[in-house]
Amino acid sequence: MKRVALLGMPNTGKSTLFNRLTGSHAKVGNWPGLTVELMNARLIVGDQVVRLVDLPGIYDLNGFSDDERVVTNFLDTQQTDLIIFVLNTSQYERQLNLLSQVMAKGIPLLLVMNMVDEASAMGITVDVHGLSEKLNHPIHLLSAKYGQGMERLLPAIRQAISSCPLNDTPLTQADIEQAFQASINVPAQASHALTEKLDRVLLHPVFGLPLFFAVMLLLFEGVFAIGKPLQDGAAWLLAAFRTVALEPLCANLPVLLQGLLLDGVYNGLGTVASFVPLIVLFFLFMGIVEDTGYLSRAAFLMDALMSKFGLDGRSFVMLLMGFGCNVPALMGTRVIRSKGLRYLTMLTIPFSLCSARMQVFVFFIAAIFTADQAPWVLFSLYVISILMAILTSLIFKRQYINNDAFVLEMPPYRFPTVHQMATTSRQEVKHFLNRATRFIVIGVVMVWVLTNFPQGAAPGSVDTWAGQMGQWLQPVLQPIGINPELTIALLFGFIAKEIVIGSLAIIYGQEGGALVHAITQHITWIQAYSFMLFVLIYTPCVSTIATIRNETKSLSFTALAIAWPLVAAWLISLAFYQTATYLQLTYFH
Amino acid sequence: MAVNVEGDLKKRFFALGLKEGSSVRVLRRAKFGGPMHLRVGTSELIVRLKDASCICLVPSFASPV
Repeated sequence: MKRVALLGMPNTGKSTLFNRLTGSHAKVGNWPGLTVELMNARLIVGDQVVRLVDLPGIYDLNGFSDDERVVTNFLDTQQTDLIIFVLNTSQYERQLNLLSQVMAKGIPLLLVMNMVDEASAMGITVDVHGLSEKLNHPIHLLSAKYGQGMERLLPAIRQAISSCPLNDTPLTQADIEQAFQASINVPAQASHALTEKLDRVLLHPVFGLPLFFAVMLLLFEGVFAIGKPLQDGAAWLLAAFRTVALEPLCANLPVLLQGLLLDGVYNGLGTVASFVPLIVLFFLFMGIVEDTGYLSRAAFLMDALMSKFGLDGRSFVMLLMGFGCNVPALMGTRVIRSKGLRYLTMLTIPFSLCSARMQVFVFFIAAIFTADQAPWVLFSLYVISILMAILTSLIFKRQYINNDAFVLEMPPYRFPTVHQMATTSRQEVKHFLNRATRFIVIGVVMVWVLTNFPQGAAPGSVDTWAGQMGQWLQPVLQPIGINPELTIALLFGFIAKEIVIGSLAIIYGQEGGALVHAITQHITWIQAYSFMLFVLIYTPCVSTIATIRNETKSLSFTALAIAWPLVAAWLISLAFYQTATYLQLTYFH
Repeated sequence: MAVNVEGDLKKRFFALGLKEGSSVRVLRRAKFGGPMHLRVGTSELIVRLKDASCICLVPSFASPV
C-alpha cells in the first residue's frame, strides 16, 4: 500500500484537512517500526488504496522537540510515496524554510495552500500555475474548514502519486522564496480587522481578565448544566436495561457469577459509558474555545500568574475544566505540545474538586454540619483543592521543566464549524472507549471481588476481604480518623466517587435518613472532615488513572500520579486530624 | 530588529517569522509582567518577556496604523 504523509506547521489546518479526507475512519495507532502513535487512515484514491498519515505539526525539521524528532525519524526510516505539505496561505513567508527543508528530502510532494478563505478575505491572490511551474511541484488551493476545493484534491493526490516530477537540482530556499514572491500578491495592509477589534476588548488591560473568568464560568456551567442531566439519563438507561433485560437473563446463573457479571463487569461498562456524554460535551465546548482562537488569548491573559507555578495559561483552562470532571480535562492537555509542561499539568488536574467528589462532600456536610457551617466547609475544600494544585506544581516544576520557549501563535478569531467540533468529539470518545474500557472494567471487577469475598460474608461488610484490608490498614488510617467502614468506602471510591455514598449504605446496612443517623452516631465531625480531605486529595478514580496512563503511556508517571496524591492525602489528613483532636481535647473538655 | 540568540529558540523565532531585519509591531503587553503580543507580517505571536529579551528592536517612525 502506498503511503502519503501530511506535513506542515502547527495551525495550518493540517488535522482539519486530515479529518475532511478520512471522515470517521481514522484511528490513532502505534506506527509499526516507530514507537509513536500517529493518526492514520486508509484512503481510496481513484483505483488504489493508500495509507494517509497525519504527522505532528512542526516548525523545523532540524529541531529537537519531541514532535520534530518524530517527523524527522518518520521521513528518514519510513518509505513515503508522497508528502502533502500543508501551508497556511496568508502566512506563507515564514513557512518556506520548512518547505525547503522538506523539499530537500527528495520525496514527491504536493503543496496544499490551505485557508484560502482567510487569504482571499485579506485580499491575497495566488498565481497557482506560475508558482507550480516555478517550483516544479503540483499545487492545490483549498479551505479544509469549509470544504472549498476539496473535490479536486483526491484527483490531485492521485496524479501526484502516479506521476510526480522530481527535481534533478533541488531548489534553494532563495529560489523558493523568489518563486512565492513572484506569484503571491499580499496587499500592504493585510490584517484581520475583526480580530483587532475583538482583541481590543477581550485582551483589554482591565476588562480582559474579568471577561476571561466570565467566559470560563459560562463554559463550565454549560458543560454541567447540560452534562449532568445527560449523565443521569445515561445512568437511568443503564439501570433500566439491567432490570429489564440483564437480570432476567442472568436469573438462572449461580449467585456469584450473577454478581460478577452484573455488579462487576456490567457496572464497569456502565462507569465507562457514563463518561461519554461528558467527554462529548467537553470537547464540543473546548472545540469552541480552541477553534475560535480564544485559548491562545487565555494563555496570554493568565501567563503572568501561571508561569510562577511552572505552568501556563492553557494549563489553567484545563485545571479549571477539571473541576467538572478530571477525565476530559486530562485528555484536553494534548493541546500543550511541550512534554514537561503537559506532564506537570496532568499531575495537578486530579486535585481539581470534580463534581463526583462534590456529591460525597455535600452528603457528609449535610449530615454532620449545620446549615450555617455548610457553605464554609465546602468553600474550605475548594480552597484546599486549589492550594494542592499549586503545591504540586511548585514541588514538581523542577522535574517537569517546560523546556519549550513560550512563543505561541495568536491565530485570528475564527468561527468553529459544527463539522469540525463533531469530528473531534467523536474521535475523543472513540479514543477513550478504546483505551480506558479494559482498565476500568478490571478495576471495577477487582473492587467487586474484594467487597464480596470470602464466600458467605455479607457484601461490603467488615468480614469481606475489603473489610479485612480495612482492619490491616488501621495502623495507618486510624491516626487520620478513618475506621474500617470508611476504609471500605475509600476502596469503593477508587472506582468512582459517585458510589461512595451508595457503598456507605451497603456498609452500614442503612439508607436515607437512617444512614445519616448511623453516620452521625459513628463519626465525629473531625473524622468526617479528615475523611473528606482524604477523598479530596487521594486518587480521584480509576477512570482518571486509566486516562493518565493512556495519555502518557508511562507506567512510572502513572505510578507517581497515584502515589503522590495518596501520600499527600495521608499527610494532610493526619495533620488536620491530630491537630483538631488535640485542640478539642485541650480546650473543649 | 535583531535576534541575539542561537539554537532552538532562534529556529522557533525564525519559523514564526521573527528574523533579523523584519519589522515587528508590539500590539500590547499583558498585565503583571505577562507576555508581549507582537505582529510580524501577517502573523501574531505571544512571547514571554524572558524569551523576548533576546530580541532587539530598533524603533521605526512609520506612522502608526
